[in-house]
Amino acid sequence: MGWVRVAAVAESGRRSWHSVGYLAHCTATMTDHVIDVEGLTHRYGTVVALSDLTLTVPPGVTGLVGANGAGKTTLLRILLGLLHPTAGQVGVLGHDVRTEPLTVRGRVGYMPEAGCLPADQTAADFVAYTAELAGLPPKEARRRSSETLYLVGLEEERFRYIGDFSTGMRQRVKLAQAIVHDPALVLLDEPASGLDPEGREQMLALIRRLGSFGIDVVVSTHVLTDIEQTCEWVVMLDGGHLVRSGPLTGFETSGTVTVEILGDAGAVVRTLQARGVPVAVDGSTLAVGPGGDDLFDAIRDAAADAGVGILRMGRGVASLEDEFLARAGDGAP
Amino acid sequence: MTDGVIYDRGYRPYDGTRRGRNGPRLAVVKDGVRRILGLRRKARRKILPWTLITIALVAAAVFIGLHFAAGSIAAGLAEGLPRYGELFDFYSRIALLFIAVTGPELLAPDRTQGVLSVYFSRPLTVDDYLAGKAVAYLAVAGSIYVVPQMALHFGLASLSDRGFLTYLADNLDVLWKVPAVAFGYLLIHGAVVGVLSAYVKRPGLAAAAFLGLLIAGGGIAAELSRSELPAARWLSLLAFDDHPRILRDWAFGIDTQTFAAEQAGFDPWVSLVVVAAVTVVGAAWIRWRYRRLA
Amino acid sequence: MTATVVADGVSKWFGLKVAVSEVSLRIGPGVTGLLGPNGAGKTTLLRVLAGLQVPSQGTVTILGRDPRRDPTVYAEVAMVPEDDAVYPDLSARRFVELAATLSQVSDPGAAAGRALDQVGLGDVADRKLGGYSKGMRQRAKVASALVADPRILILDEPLNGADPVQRSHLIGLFRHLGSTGRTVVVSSHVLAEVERMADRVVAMVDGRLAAVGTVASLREAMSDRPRLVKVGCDRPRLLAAALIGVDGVTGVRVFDGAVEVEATDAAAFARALPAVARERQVRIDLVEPEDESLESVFRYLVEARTW
Repeated sequence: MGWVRVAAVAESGRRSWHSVGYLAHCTATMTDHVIDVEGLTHRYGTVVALSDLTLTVPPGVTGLVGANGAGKTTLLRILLGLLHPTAGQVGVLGHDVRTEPLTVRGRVGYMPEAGCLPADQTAADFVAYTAELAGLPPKEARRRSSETLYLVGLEEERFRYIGDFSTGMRQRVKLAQAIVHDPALVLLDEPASGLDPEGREQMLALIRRLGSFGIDVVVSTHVLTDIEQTCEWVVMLDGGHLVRSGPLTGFETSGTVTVEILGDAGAVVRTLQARGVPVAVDGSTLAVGPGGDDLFDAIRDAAADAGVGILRMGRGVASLEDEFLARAGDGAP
Repeated sequence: MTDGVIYDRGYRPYDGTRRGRNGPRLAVVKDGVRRILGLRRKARRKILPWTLITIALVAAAVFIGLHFAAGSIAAGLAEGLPRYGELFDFYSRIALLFIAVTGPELLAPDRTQGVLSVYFSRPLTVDDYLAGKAVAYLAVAGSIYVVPQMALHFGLASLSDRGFLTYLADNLDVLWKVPAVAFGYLLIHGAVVGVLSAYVKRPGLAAAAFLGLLIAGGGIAAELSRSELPAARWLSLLAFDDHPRILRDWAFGIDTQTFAAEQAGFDPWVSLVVVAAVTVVGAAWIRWRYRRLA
Repeated sequence: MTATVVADGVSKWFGLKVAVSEVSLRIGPGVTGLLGPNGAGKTTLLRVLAGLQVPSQGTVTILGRDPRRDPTVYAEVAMVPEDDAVYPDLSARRFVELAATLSQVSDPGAAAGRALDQVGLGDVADRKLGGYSKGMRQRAKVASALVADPRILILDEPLNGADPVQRSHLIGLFRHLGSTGRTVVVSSHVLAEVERMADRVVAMVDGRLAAVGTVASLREAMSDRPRLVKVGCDRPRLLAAALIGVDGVTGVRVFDGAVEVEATDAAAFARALPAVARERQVRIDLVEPEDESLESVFRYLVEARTW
C-alpha cells in the first residue's frame, strides 16, 4: 500500500484527484496485481458464461461493469473459489484460486447483492460469527465485530436484531461482515442498492475510505456514476468477453474546450474566430477548438475584453457511460 | 510533564491469530448449539426446546425419586420400575419432538434467508458446515437421551445396596449400550429431518412433515407389510421409527412389543443395516444438495 | 403549464402513521422526478397521484377529473410499482398483451409488439418472465404500462436492477415520452439519473414537500448558501490571493493545484474571473461549479430538516 496513493485519494473522491498519485503508485508496484486472470473460460453446460478472459486488477478501487448476463456474477464466484472454472488461470492476491480456495477466502471479503442476513441474530453477534468463520478466535471476533460496526456507523444499533433493521442498516451490516476479518480485498456487489441518496453517498464515501485502510476493492454495479465517483480502475464485460480493463481516466478526451458564458457570448465568439480558433455555439455554451492549452488563454482574454463572465469551462471528457455504450454493443438482453 | 498523544482511532488492521480450519468448524458447532437452544436469540426461540429439556430432566428426577422411594418401601418393588431400555421410549418421544422443532432451524433459515452466500465466502467448505451442524445436533439431542439415563444410572448406583462401584462394575454394559442405542435413534431421525430441512423452506412445515413421515408413514408401512401385497414384508423396513427400538430391545434384551419388521421375519441386525443405510444415504443426499447450492 | 395531475392538501395516513402530510402539487406534461429519503412517503404519494389510493384528506384531480367520481379517467393513467412480483410462466409478450386486453386496447397483439419494441424487449419477448433478469422484468412492466398509451405514466424506481445500457435506454424513453406531451412521474434514488431524466423535481422529506422546481431554480432558491466554484490554474496561490479581493467572494481555498472559491454572488465572480486571471497572467484551465448538482440540493434539503 503505497503512501503515494493514500495521499492522492482526496476526500472529494472525484477521479481527477486520483489520477496523478495513482499513476505514480502504479509504476511503483507494477507486479502487485490484486487479481490476475488468464484465459479464463467458464461454461454452464452449453452456455458460455465467460470466454477467454485475460485481465489484471491493480490495487485500489476497481469497478466491474457489464450488462446483465455479461458474466460478472460468474467471475465473482470464481474469484471466491466457489466455482471451478472450466479453463484458465485465476490468481487472487498471489494465490491460485483453484489450488488454494480456502486461503483466498480467508483474505477476501464479500458483500452479496441479495438479502443474506439472518433476522433472528443481533448485528454484533452475526458479524462476530462471520469473523470466527474466517478463523478469528472468539474474543478477537467479538472485538473486531464491535469495531467494524462502529466504523460503518451502527455502533448504537449493534445489539438489535437484524430483522428490525432498515435497508440502509442492512447494507451496512453486509459491509461490516465483509471487512471484519481484515481482508486484503473485498468484492462488493451493488453496495448502494436500495439506499436513498443520503445512504448512497455515505456508502460510496465508506468505499473510498476502504482504500485508506489498506483494503483493495472491486465494486460491481450498474450505476456508472457511482463508479466514476469511487473507482480508479474499470473492468468492462460484455457477453462473457472482456471489453476493457484500464484506468478510469484513460478515456479519449475530445480536443475541444467547453465554455459557458455569462453575458453576451457573441463578442467572445467573434474575437476567437478572428484569431482563427474554431468555435461552435449552442446558446450560451461554446465548444472551442480543437487545440492545445493556449485555447484557455485565448478564451480568458476574449472574455476579459468583452467584459463577460465565465460560468463553466473545461475540456470535454467522455463519461464512463459514453464509453460503455460505445463499446458494449446495442444492449442485447 | 509528559508529551500529549492523540491516538488514531481509525481502522486497525488485524494481525492476530487466524485459526486454521478448526476455528471455523468449531464456530459452526457452537452456533448450531446456540441456534437449537435459542441462545442469543429472541426469547420465543427458547420456549419449545427448553420446555422439552425441562420435561426430560424433571422426568429423570421423578424416575430416580420413584426408584428411591420404592427401594425404601420394599426391596423388590424397585425391580418392577422402568429403567434404561424401557425408559428409552419415553425419552425418545421427547427427543423426537425436540428434533422436530429444532432440527429444521439448523438448516432451513440459513438457506431461505440467503446467509449461505456469506458463510461460504469464508474459508468454510460445505462439508465443514454440514459436519458442524451434525455435531451440534448430536450433542444436544444426544444429551436428551444420554444425560437423564446416566443420571438415573448413577442414581441407581448410589442407591444400590451392593455399593456404588460394584453396581457400576456389574452394569458396565449400560455405559456403552445407552449411547449406542441413542445413536440409533439420533442417526435415523437426524437423516430424515436433515433431508427434509434441506428442501423445505418453513421450519414448521418440515417439522410437521418429519413427524408425519415417521409416525403416520411408519404406521402405514407397518400395516401394508402385513397385507397380501407382493414383497410386502420388505415394506416393514420402511417403518423407520421401529428400527432404533428394535435395536434397543436387542441391546437390552427386552421385549417391549412386536414390531412389523420382526413379524416379517427380519433379524435385529437388519435394523442395524437399515439405520446405517438411511444415515449414509441421507447424509450423501444433503451433501449433494448443499454442494449445488454453495 | 396546464397541469394534468393536481394534488390539493393531500394527506394520507395508515392508522397512526402519517405517510403523506398536506401535499399540494401541480404536475404537467414532461418528466417530473420525485425524490426523498426512504420512508419519506414517495410510494404512497405516487399511489395517491395515480388514483390507486384515496387520500385521507384533500383531493387529487387527474386531467381535470376526480377519479373517485369519474373512474373512466383511470384509462389514461398507468403505474409501474416497485415490487418485483410477476407471473413467471408468462412470456413478456403474453403479459403485455394481457395488459392490453384488460385496457381494452384494439388489436392488443400489435400494441404489445410496439410497446415491447419501445422498451427494447422486441427480440426476446417470447421468453418466460421467470427467466428474465431483474432489469428485463422492469422493462416488461414498463411495456405493460405503455401498451394502452396512457397520458400519465407513474413509475416507482423503474431503473432498479437495470444494467447501464438498459438504464440509458429507459432514460431516453422517458424523456421521449415526456417530450411528446405525456406526463411522466418517476421516483428514483440515483440523483444523477433523475437530473438527466427530469425537467422538474419534487422532493419529499418526512411526508411533506421539501422542494418543487427545476434543479437550477432550486439552487437559486437556496439563497442562504454561497456558491462554490473550483478553478483549475497554473498558479493557484497567486490567483487565490487576487480573487479574495473580488467583491462577493467570501472565501478561497488552495486545494491540490486548484482554487476553491466561495462566493455569495456567483455572477459577479464569473465576470471578475477572466479579468483578474489575465491581469496576473494566470492560465485557468477549469471552471467548475461544485454544488450545482441535484445531490447538493438534496443534501441541503435533508439537512434542513434537523434543528
